[in-house]
Amino acid sequence: MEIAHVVLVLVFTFLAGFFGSMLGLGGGFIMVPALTLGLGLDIKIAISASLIGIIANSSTASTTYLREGLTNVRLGLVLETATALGAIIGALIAVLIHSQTLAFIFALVLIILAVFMYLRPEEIHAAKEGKEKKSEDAYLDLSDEYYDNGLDEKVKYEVKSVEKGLAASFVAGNLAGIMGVGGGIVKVPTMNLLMNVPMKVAIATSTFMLGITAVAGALIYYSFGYVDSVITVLVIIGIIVGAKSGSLLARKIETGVLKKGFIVVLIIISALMFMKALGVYPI
Amino acid sequence: MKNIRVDKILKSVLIIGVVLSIIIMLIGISLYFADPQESASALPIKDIIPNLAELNPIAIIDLGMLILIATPAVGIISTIISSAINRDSKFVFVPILVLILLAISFGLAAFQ
Repeated sequence: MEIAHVVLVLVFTFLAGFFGSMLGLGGGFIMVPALTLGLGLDIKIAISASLIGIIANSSTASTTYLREGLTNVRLGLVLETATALGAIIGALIAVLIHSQTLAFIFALVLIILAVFMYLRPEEIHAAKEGKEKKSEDAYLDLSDEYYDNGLDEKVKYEVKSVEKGLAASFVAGNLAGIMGVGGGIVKVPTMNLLMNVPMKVAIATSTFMLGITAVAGALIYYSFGYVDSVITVLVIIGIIVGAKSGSLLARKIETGVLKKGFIVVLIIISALMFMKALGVYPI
Repeated sequence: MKNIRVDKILKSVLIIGVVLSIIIMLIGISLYFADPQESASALPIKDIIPNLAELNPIAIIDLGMLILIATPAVGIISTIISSAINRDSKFVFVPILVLILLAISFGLAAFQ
């Protein structure tokens, strides 16, 4: 592998981790197109590297959230029953279809993602505290509490609509398996907007789930021979360093500005991926 | 009966797994760049151990990679054990289900 390619992989994945951590994403939406468009890698190899990079990034970031008591492990594992299944099915679909078809699907989802991010309703930062446990959720007892440093107090929350959460998690798993992303773009708003989970807990729990989801998909790609060991290691290094750097700067940059920039980037990448799918992209 | 903090044990498992896997992968990639090989494709799982004996850089990287991939799964096992010790039977079943799904993926990878 040439030095120039090594540097390019590290730069692309650093940027993916950097901007991904600022936006609460795993970075796959940037990584996969960057490796495919920038280096001419087969999209399936790029997806497998992205999934394994997400495992490393998620596991690293989760340790911080677990230490802070933000992760709702029970909720994460319940939703993972659907996400992991979705990821396995998604990955099996991806390895069996033509790479150009996969590029087309990727481009289409990027456009949908850009529209969703533009139209996304306001996040709920503190969930409504339930007075009594609802009977539908009492069996699983997913409700929890955490210490909010900003409010300087313990916040209790009651998890609702588990069935809707499971359905959305299955879709998130499909996305993860097909596209090599973590699925956080679906999981976080699902937990926050549908399930009454505060935003900090939703991000922390999603981060915990990303790694497990990625495992389910990564093993499928590995079994079909789509893993490049060297590129994967470089992706892991780049994304961990990038994500750590991004999380340090995240508080200093206004999220709205980042989001608008990200939407523009998504649209450009989507256009390039359409070109790739149609076989008219030069690399 | 001791009340085990599921999240503390999970955190320790994740840290150990990530650190160990990255150290092994860095050793492997250093050896690879010292003597680059034509193919960097990951080896089939059944071929990793035999190639480790020959200090094949790709085999070393793949070992680290598989440890990394296994780390969240080991984390789930730790939550099963912790929940069982805490006599929290409902949350022994849920992670077992997730583990079965991951095992299906692993089975496909190991026997492809």
